[in-house]
Amino acid sequence: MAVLRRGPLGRNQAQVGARLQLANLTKHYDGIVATDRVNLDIVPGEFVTLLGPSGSGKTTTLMMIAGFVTPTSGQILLNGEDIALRPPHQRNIGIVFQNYALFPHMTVAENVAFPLKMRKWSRAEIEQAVGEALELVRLKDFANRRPRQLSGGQQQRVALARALVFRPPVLLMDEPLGALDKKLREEMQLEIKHIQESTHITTVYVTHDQEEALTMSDRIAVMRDGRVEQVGSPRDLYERPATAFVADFIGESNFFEGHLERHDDRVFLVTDDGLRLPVPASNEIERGEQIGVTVRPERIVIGQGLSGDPVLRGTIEEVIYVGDSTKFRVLLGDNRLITVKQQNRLDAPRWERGDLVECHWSVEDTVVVHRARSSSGGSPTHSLPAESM
Amino acid sequence: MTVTQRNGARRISWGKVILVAYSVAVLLYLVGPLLVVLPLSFSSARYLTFPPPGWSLQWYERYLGSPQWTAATVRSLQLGVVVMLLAVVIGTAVAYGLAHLQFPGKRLVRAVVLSPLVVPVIILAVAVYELFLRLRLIGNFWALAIAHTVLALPFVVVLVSAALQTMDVALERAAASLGASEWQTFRYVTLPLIAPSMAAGAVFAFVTSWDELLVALFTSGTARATLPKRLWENVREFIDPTIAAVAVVIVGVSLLLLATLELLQLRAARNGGHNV
Amino acid sequence: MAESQVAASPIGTRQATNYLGRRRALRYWLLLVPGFLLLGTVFLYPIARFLLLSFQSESGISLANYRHLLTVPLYSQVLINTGVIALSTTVLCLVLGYPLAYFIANLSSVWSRRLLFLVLIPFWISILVRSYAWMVLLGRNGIVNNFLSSIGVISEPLPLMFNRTGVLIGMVQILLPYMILPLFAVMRSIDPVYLRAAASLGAPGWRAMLHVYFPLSLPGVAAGSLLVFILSLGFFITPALLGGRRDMMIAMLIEQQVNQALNFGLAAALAGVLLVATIVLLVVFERVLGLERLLGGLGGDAR
Repeated sequence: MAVLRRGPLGRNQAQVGARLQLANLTKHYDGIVATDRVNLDIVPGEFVTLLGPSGSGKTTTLMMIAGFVTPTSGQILLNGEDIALRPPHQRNIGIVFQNYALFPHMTVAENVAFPLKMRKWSRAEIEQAVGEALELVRLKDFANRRPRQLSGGQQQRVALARALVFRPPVLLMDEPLGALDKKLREEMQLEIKHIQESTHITTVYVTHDQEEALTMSDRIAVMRDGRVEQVGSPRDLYERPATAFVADFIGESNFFEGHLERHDDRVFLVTDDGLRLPVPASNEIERGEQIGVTVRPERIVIGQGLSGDPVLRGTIEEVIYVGDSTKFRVLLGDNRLITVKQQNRLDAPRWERGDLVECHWSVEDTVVVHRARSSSGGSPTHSLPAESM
Repeated sequence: MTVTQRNGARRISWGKVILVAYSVAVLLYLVGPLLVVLPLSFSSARYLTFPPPGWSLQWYERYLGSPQWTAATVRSLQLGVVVMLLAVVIGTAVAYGLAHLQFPGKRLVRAVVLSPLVVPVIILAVAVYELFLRLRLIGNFWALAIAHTVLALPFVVVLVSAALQTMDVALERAAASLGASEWQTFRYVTLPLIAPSMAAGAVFAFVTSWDELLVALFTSGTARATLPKRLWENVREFIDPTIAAVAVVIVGVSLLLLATLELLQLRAARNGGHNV
Repeated sequence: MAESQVAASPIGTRQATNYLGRRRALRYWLLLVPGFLLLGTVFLYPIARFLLLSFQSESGISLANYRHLLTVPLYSQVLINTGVIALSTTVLCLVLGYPLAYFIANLSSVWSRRLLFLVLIPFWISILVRSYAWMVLLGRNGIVNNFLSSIGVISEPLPLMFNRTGVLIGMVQILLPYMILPLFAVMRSIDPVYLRAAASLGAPGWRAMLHVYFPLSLPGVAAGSLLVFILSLGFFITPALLGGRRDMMIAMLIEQQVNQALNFGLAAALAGVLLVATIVLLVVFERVLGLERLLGGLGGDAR
């Protein structure tokens, strides 16, 4: 029962993270549904990110795991034990808050020592553990400074050290890098990832930044309106989004909707404005059904005199230079704008506004998604193969 | 009228000169009278003359030699300390409780707690007098202390509430996530951070009681009067410079506490808080 | 944290930390008990009981006491006096305080703070002592008269005490900070860009002041005036020490009725009138300006 366990000293203790399961976790506030039957199974040592826009329920979910919000129903299983109703100070979970929440009236060392002090470790043990923790985040020389004397990035590392020093089985991080500038953020993403890998701690990370999620996670749970839309590895989510929302939230995508037609063993999607797009054959698709597909902008080729299927003719409306690549907005027909992304290589043709071009992509890059506008709710879509399950 | 300093440009105009002269005059009006009383208390003359012909401590000797005055002074000091402690403890508890609760009517409760600040003290004074009269508590030290605490409480509640508000909510959560129970969170995280406001509230509470006249006038009884009450009783003889000495002592204690408070706050700001 | 869109959620507030629901909330309620007990027994209960006395008189439960107040000229005069003195004090505070507040508000923040500190020091000095100081200054043989006659400006001492003049001089000095603070707070927040815009549009200095600055400062004027007026109504010490027979205010009459006439019923009626007037004005204040302004005015920028 006692969750506040004191680990023995020394780095030789390979503390493996815990298994964390969320079972039908639901939270209602005065008739507003913050989370709706969230299910997630996180294996020990895994880094899972809850990704979604504001209001998607990701922070609420994290706060329920942390213990600051009481679920309306559902379970939170830590190594099989349900902790959903346990007070936060008995959960033994490390948390890095959005604004770090470092105690301003204590030095860095005192901040990091705080959880150990609560657990009544001896002075010597505390000193050693604090030293190791600060070493881990490379702030050993800052032990006697006050938080306000540190930069944002340094404060963030102290917060991380403080959350890890007592060797918790689970680490929660609530958009910890939001306040940092881009370069620093990218550095910290890698640093956090390395620390996590070396400590094997099970980590749940919340962010709205999809790039961050893709960089750091073993798996990502995309959330929307309180539900998990899809869970999978970064690659799965990017290349096989299950819904239009996921396709749109992670990276950019071009969405096409229409009904199916079959001709000689090939399946096509026919849109209202007359585009015929080949669709990969699959047992799940039936003729006449309304479906949606997405295509990633970087998978589309722009050229003239292209062959293959589909080849769509359009006019370049907009050219956006992004440094390493260029994005084009191409107008197909009267009404449809698609985005195409092209690497800026020396030999690439420089298209300009007004150019008449053809667009093509291969059928394997056409991803079928469910009609996600009206969410059916309930179980999330887990992409296959589920690598770590 | 003028172009002010905030705009960056500075043009001396008559308007500005008048404004400055006027402001100085008003400031003198605000602060002046007390500056006059101070030298009077050190006057070597037998009665009130300004400027004093010479300097002497005779009036302070008179003050300290009179059992009437010294007894009242001691009583007011004791009262002040007790009120200070009561107000800080109860007030902090109220502020902390209110900060962590939401309920319909919370605003009303807060308004009631703060109302002694604006409701005329005379009303409370006579009402409490009538009550204590019936309960035979006139002259009772603790009864008066409790009455004063009501007047002092709002200051503590306002100051501590403000401190709790500016304190990052996440700090309490962080402490909990790190294993601190509620009490430990309060003791190691919240308390050190609101301590400066508690100290300020304590000083305000003391001064409120120390200066208070109306309630004490009715309730402290003749034998055990507070210092302000004694002053009130004797103020018709304001020609007597002993009164000036008493006045200076009353003000002196207040200003001393004010200065102490400022010093503490400067030090706290420099250190960024206490150590755990 | 932007979850507030989905849930009008108290995630950001302390209340969200009620992970044990009722049990945790109980703890905080317990903290409120001493305060509630104190206020209940020594504040609300005595005042309520006392006010009830106002309905008692020789003829049983009635409004006799209140009728007395309105009909007996001695008493009704006091009510009128109180209103007039409070109004005069408010106007004087406004006239004297507005320019000073303007001056301080437009200084650099260092000097602003220093001068404000100076303005606030009187807060710390008991009203009794301040009124006493005025007695020393304003008496027939007081310092002001002695000084003025010594330099030959006057031949006879000016009647500055035991009359309306004395009362107003004293009260204005004491209540001026309560006018200056709200004014300062509002003025401080007036963006200088508005005056610049007015100038660029062709308004000379005084017109800009009249048409742009003054209207923008009105919330401060309202807050300060209401505050000073409300506080003036209940004044006791200053009018008692510095005023004459025609300057009796409600609080003094209450004291007299309790201590000398032992007429608790009448005193209670007076207290009732005073309390109702105060509450009505506070409600007006709240409606028009919000209670936070009141506290902002009281707490000031000092801390």
